[in-house]
Amino acid sequence: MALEQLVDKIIKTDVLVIGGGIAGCPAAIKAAEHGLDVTIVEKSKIERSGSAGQGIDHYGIFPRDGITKMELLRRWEAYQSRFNGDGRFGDPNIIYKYYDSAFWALEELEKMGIPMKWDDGEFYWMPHGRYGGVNRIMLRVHWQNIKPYMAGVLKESGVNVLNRIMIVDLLTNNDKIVGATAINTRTGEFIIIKAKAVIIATGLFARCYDPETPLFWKYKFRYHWCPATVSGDGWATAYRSGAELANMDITGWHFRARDDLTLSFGNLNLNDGIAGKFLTWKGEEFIFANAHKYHELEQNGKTPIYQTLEHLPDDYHKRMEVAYVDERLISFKIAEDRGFNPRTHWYELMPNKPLNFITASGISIDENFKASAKGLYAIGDCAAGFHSCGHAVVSGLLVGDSINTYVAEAGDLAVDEAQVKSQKQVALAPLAVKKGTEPMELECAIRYICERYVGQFKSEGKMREGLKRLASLRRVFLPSLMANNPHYLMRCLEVRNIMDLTEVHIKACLERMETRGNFIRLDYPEKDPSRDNMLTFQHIENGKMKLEIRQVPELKPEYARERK
Amino acid sequence: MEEPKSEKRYEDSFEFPLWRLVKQRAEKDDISYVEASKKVVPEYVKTIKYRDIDFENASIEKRVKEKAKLTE
Repeated sequence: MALEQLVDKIIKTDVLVIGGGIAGCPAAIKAAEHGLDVTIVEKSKIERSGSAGQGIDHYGIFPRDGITKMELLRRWEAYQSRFNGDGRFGDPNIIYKYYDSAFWALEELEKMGIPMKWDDGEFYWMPHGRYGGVNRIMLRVHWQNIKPYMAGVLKESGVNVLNRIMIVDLLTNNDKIVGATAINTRTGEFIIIKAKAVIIATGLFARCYDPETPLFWKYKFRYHWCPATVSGDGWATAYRSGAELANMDITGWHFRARDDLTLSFGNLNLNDGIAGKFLTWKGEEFIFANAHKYHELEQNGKTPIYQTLEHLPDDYHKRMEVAYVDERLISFKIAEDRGFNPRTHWYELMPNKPLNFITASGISIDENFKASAKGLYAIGDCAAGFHSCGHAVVSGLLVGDSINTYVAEAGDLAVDEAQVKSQKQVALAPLAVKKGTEPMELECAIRYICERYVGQFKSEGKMREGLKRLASLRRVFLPSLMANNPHYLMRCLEVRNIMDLTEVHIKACLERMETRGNFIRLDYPEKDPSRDNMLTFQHIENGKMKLEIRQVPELKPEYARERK
Repeated sequence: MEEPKSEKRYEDSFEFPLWRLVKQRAEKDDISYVEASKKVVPEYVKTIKYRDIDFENASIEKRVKEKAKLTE
């Protein structure tokens, strides 16, 4: 059967960008500047999608105000170790590259017409409590409308923008990525996008654990860090295509406020440089609690714990109101409705538990953001260890600026019809199921497995039981997923992605037989010195998951010289 | 059992001054809250000591000293 008969539409492009957030948009814009034919797909609508959909009140980390790139790198590593324990958990060369490119990216954003300056026409540099102390190394920005701005620039750049498109899987030709299949979540069209290079920019992964909110079902998509629907689509499709994932044993750990919808990033943690106060329920202040400290507080009856902004000067409370406007205007209404006056309220923090994969996990990349599969790039939260709005923009710009070299050599490779047929079958099957399983039902069942059998305190028996239960869900319930319309097809595909990544996660945890930082194995309570500076990598080979433990690269000598 | 909002850290009725201004402007000009905030925020920002470095440093350092007294 000809390919044209198999699908509703075939699109040919030089570069396919999957995900229209603040990593994908700059990548597409920059690649188009080089004269490439660029297509960007977004499962929502670019004007208000992704982490920055409602706005952002801060941007980037810059080597300035007395803080060098090497010092920033040192603080990044110290921050990682605060959660993950001794050792390095990411390639320092990639992080160095981010700091090294920060001012270049700032200039690029200004060239695009993105508003970077404060109301008085100057940059407003704010201190970053975690990285800079009193040093002003982060930009405070009015980015309530950053996504509409970027959508406008995309249009002017001639990028082919396809909203409401959910990627099913990547297409491969031997060891090269040659495009992707997708569905239109409004019309149900099944599409092939043939591309010489593919950039994945779909954000991170979180939805195998419960979100922060204690509210009911309709809010259960809501996570912080950052987008509302972080189902790991990019990570899962990359993994299924043979690309390598890194650090899937390392979950993000941080205090997160319950009722997170009421808060913007600037609040609680940073407050233009004044840290919030952590309190036990009796009002005793403490600085910080990693998993061990939190457990101690729990054992001593000192939880729940809270964070408060009562100590902020009046001027800073006004600043936080502006931060609400910039990052999440709806926060005002929700806070008022729920009675959360920041001047008096104690925000309950959720237990310190695995929550998402924010610190170091994602698609394994080299220093040029190339994934292990040829023709595939990962940027923003998709790239292992590269997690923040600043990282997203910089990585997008860097890849967009250099991908023309790969495209020029890539050639025009054929698409495998059998592969397309198989992907189409997977994608559209839920439409034929009339009495089956709702996607959220299966998703909650997966979350239950992670909460009950992986969670904070891990052991071999629990995780093996979790894997068995996951296999059972896969066998019995994945085929029974039902979709009444194309939108629900997207939800079904998300659950498939969540399920695949959950399996990768549990297997990575099972293999790591030690306790280090917030990674706690009850059956291996000691640190394993042979795992110092070693990371877990997983990929599919001949249909089976292959797991490798490899060393974190050293910082290159030319970068390290700055340290002296 | 008492509802959470009966506790003193929850307030049945309070208003964010900036939000009130945004809503008023939206109603007056018959525009969205997003559009209203574009008009209101530049004026509100002028009432905040964003460029007062001495004030900022003093506020931040006060908190840094408070934290230094606590042990992790």
